[in-house]
Amino acid sequence: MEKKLYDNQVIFSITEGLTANYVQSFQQFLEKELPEANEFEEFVLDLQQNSRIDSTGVTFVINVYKKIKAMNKTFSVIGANEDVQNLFCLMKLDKFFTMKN
Amino acid sequence: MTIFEKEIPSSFDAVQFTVDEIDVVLGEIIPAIPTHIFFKIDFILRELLNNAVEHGNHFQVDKRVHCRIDYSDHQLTLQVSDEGEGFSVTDDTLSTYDTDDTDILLRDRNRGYPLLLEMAKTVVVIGSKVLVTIDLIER
Repeated sequence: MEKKLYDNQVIFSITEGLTANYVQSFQQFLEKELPEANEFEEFVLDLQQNSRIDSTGVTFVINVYKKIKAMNKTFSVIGANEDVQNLFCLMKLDKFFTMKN
Repeated sequence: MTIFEKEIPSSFDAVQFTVDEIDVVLGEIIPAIPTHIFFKIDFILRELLNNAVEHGNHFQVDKRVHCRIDYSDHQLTLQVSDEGEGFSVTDDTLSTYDTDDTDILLRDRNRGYPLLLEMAKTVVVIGSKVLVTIDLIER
């Protein structure tokens, strides 16, 4: 996982599979690297480098969304391939956050 | 015919390694699988194996997960079993996405089994063994 900060936007990029074997390390990275609430307005989860996902990965995305929403910030997903986007839509997650290519 | 069979240790890393192995085998034996069906197979395999490792064997290193894949008539049959006591399908396990209830849609657990039902052709649970069939033809 990698972090980039542009003005008021923080981007976390998933560089390995969004799968059970990596999720714990993603959580630790996020806990350590998520800026304070006054340092950003928009959180972007970049899935461009990733095409693999499982339900543990989906739960991770949902938990990040909840965390960011609790901070009153905007959450979105970019770079998810068509299959991952379809999966999120199947679970109606597109009701809660936007997905952009 | 059986195209893959293996017993694996009870860890998520072993699941990752095994799914990688299976992806290679599938690519060699059935190279024409459409991308979105390949995605579905990968997802379902991970769900079955992760559940066996976590909920069946509780990550106990001395317990194994058995995985077998059969291919015939444009269909894959995935069979995964563990050394746990098996699970019963409850209403919670079956919670679907046919709802607008935010608490259900954003729940922390019980996300895998309903997705299996959405993606697979059939899902059969017999004690600690799960049998899933996947259609390889686009419909």
